[in-house]
Parts: sequence; structure tokens; C-alpha cells
Amino acid sequence: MIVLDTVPSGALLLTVGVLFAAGVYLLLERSLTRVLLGFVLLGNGANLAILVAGGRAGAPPITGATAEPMSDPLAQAMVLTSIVITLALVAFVLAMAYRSWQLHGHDEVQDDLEDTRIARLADADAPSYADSDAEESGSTLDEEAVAVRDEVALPDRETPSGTTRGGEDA
Amino acid sequence: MLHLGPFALVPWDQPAQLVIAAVVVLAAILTARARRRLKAVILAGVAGYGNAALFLLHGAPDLALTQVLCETLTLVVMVLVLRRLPPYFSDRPLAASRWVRLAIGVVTGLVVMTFVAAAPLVRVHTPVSVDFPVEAETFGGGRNIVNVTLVDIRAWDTVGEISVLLVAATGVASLVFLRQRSGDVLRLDRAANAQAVASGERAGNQPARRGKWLLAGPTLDPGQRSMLFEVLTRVIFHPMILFALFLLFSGHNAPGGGFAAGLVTGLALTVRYLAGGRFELGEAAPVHPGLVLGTGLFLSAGVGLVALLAGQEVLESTILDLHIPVLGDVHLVTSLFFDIGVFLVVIGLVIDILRSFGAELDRQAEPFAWSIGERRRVEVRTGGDRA
Repeated sequence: MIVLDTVPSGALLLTVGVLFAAGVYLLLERSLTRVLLGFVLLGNGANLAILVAGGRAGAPPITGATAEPMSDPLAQAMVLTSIVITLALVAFVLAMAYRSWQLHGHDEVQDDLEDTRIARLADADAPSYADSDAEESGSTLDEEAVAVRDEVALPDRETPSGTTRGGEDA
Repeated sequence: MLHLGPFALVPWDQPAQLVIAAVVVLAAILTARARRRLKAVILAGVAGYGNAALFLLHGAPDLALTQVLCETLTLVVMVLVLRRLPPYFSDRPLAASRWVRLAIGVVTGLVVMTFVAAAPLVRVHTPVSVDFPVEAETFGGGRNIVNVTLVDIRAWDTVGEISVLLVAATGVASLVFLRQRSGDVLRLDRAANAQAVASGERAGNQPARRGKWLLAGPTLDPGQRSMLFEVLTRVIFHPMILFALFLLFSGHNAPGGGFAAGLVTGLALTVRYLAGGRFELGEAAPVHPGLVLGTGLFLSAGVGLVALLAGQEVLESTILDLHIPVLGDVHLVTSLFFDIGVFLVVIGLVIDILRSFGAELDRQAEPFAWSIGERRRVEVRTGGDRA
């Protein structure tokens, strides 16, 4: 028999709220490692939320173990799937962070030039391409790349503050 | 019970829940504030273990088991990658946008809290799972309803999930190995040959395989070996595999199942790798992870299709009660083979992760050194200042 009382527990609600808040805060960062940690926290929060939506705490859903009412097995099966997928996702994002570190020396997400360009064209309601007879208008992608706001201090551009922080640790 | 307008709330299910919730909340806030990578990762791990405890208190032993295993594996994998990344998150002047992000985070948290508080109370239909206990026993032939749900009632979900695992494992391997699906299987004879060539000895002069705690122990730099760890690994590896098999076969009626069993096996392999290095991993699992992943998915999907040949629905399971002379009565449900497929896919994922983030990163970190002899020569040449 399954518990049909669904009044949620305040302690779990608070945990879900804080996990989501911390997770979203980290997701909006640029460093891929922090984005990943944000996703892990968010995932934990979502798992708890699904469990709460399934109803109150009860006995383990194993028939014949106890006569007490059990917690909802459907919510649990769904959460189990999500836990293992989170593991796979963690591995994948870590591989991306590592690759980014290999290529750029940091794991920060850069501005997407093409995306900015498309957004600007959409704002101006302009066509996304012009045929070869039309006059070249505006700046080239390379010129835009110089102008775009890049918050990452690259080692060869200026004195990186990150290196000195790292040096303290050694 | 508290009533706030349309909402109703109980403070907690058990008092212990409040304590663990406080730990998780604290760990989550500190993770968001941490400036050091390792600190952030470990705090997120604390939040994860706390979540496992909350699952256990909620009456979900399967979830708690899987969460603990996954969290442990996540910690190991993160630390394996973190040894290559800088220790601190880069310092950036983002004072203004930080408050905006914090505000977005808090608002999202509040909205989700309201949603989670409201959703369970506005239920109008009886949950579909009320019949699960009976269905699990009659059609699924098992008493652990969560496991039967995974391998029988909602088996399509699981097929989708293991496909995702396969894709993620392939993605990880290709991002790290770049030019091939995954590198060679690193067996000991390769290390021995390289070592022999490096030190000018004849190949084939292999060290005796007896009298060592771990096969590949001697391939490690003596300064990096831990005798205690090697002995412990030798002692616990086989019990861990045995425990994994127990979880696999008992999962239908007790907490466990293919996922938990695969993760325990994966952790056993992780311990072997951490204690004995990349050649030890090659000796412990001398297969290509792609093969394990493929076999697993083939088995799971194949069992589902065999049911079709027998005139049943896809992935429908059959309960066979056999009497085998020596073993006695055997209660065999065909979904066990489905679970074995899941078990193999999870193992394949873990091997792929260990080979990419462990073995391949080790190799990339020491580009000229293939074995001890060679590494020593490099150290002599460069004055031994390589980290």
C-alpha cells in the first residue's frame, strides 16, 4: 500500500529551494567547473523535488517487508534514472572543461560571436546574408572579435591575476 | 501541520530530516561561495551525500545506495580532472553582475519552492503507482518495486537512459583521446617492453608475476607507491566484485540492481587504478570500453526483442520457476538479463571515464616517459625538477 498523504515536509522544501538557488547562481558563471557544480546542485534539488511530489516519507517500497504504508516507487524509479544520468553528464562536462583548458589555458565559456551577430541582425530585422553583388556593410567578424567584451584575462594579453592566486598555493 | 492559505506544510517527516537538511543547505551555500576548485567540489560532494541520507529517511534505500555510489565516483572523477586544472577559479571583476546572478538564483529557488509546495496538494487523480506493488509481483516477479519498475514496468525509460550513458561515455572518450575512440588496452607486457627498451635490456625479461600485491605496482614511480594502499586494494577488490554480483542478482527483491552493481564494480576498478596506475587498470579490465558498452546495450535491447518473438510485448518479462538438481528451486525472471545489460553499460561508462581522465591524462602529463626507466632518464636530463 502506498502513502497517499502528500503534505510536503518543510525541511525538504527549504533544501530544494536552497539547492536550486545555489545551483542557478553557479550555472550563470563562466567557469565550466562552476557551471558543472551548479548543475550537480540543481540536479540534487530536482531529485528531491520529484521525491516530494511523490508524497510523504514511508517505508521502503519492497512488498512483504513491512505492513506500514510505503513511499511512492514511481518517483523513486525516475530519480534513480536521473542520478545515473547526472554522473554521465558530470563526466562529459568535465571532459569539455579539460579540453578547454588544453586549448585555451582556462575553462571559461567565451562569448559566442556568431550568436551576438545573429541577435544584432534580428534586432535590425536585416537579412542574415547578402549576395555577392550587394555592398559589404558593417564590420567583419574579425573586427567584431576584437571589439567583443571578453572578460577572461588571457596570459599573453595582460598580467593575469589568476596566475598570482595560483602561485600563492604552491 | 501548518496551513498558509492554500498551502499546507509539516515541519519535517522525522526530526533527523531537519538536521541533514541543514547540512545540505549549508554545503550548497558554501559551494556557491568557494573560490578554490577542490573546496567547491568537496562541498558539492557533502551536499550529495546529504541528499543520499535524505533519500534514506524518505524510505528510498535504492536511491540512497545509488546516490552514495555515484557521489563517490563523481568525487574521484572530478579530482582526477582537477589535478590538471588551476587550483583557483580565475579571479574576475564581476562584482556588479554577481548580485544580479544571486538575485536570479534566489528568485528561481523561491519559485521552485512554491511549485514543490503546491504540486503535491493539487493532485486530483489517484497516482498510477498505487497498483505497482501488485503488478510488480504478478507480472514482474519481484518484490523490490523500484527495481521492477526500472527493468519491467518502465523499461523503455531505462533503455533510453543507458543509450544516454553510452553516448556520454563516447563523448568523454573522444574529447580526451581526440583521434580515436579510445587508446590501446594498456597491458603489462607493453610496459615491460617499453621499460626494457628504455633501460637497454632485452625485451621479454619480465619481472616475476608472483610475490607482488598488485600486478602493475612496479610500473609506478617508487615515490608514488603506497604499500598499504596496494595491500588493501588486493584484499578488497574481489569482495567488492562479489558484492556487486550479489547486488545484481538480489536486486529484484531487495535494494540493489544493475545500476548499483555496475557502480560498485566501477568503484572496485577505480580503486585498482588509483593504487596501481594505468597499467593496473589495463590488467583489471583488459577490454575496450566500447565493447562493454555495446554488449550491454545489445543485451538489454535484445532481451526486449526476444520477448517479441515469443509473442509478447517488447520488454515484457517472463517468470520461470525451475527446479535445478543441485541449486534447488530457481525463480528466474527474464528481466534479469535486461538488468545485466544495464550493469555492463554502467561498467563500460566507468572504464571509459577512468581510461580518459585517469590513464590518458597521466600519459599526457608525462609525454616523454613511458615507464620508470625512461622517466628517470628524463628527470636526470632536466635536473629532476619536473613535478
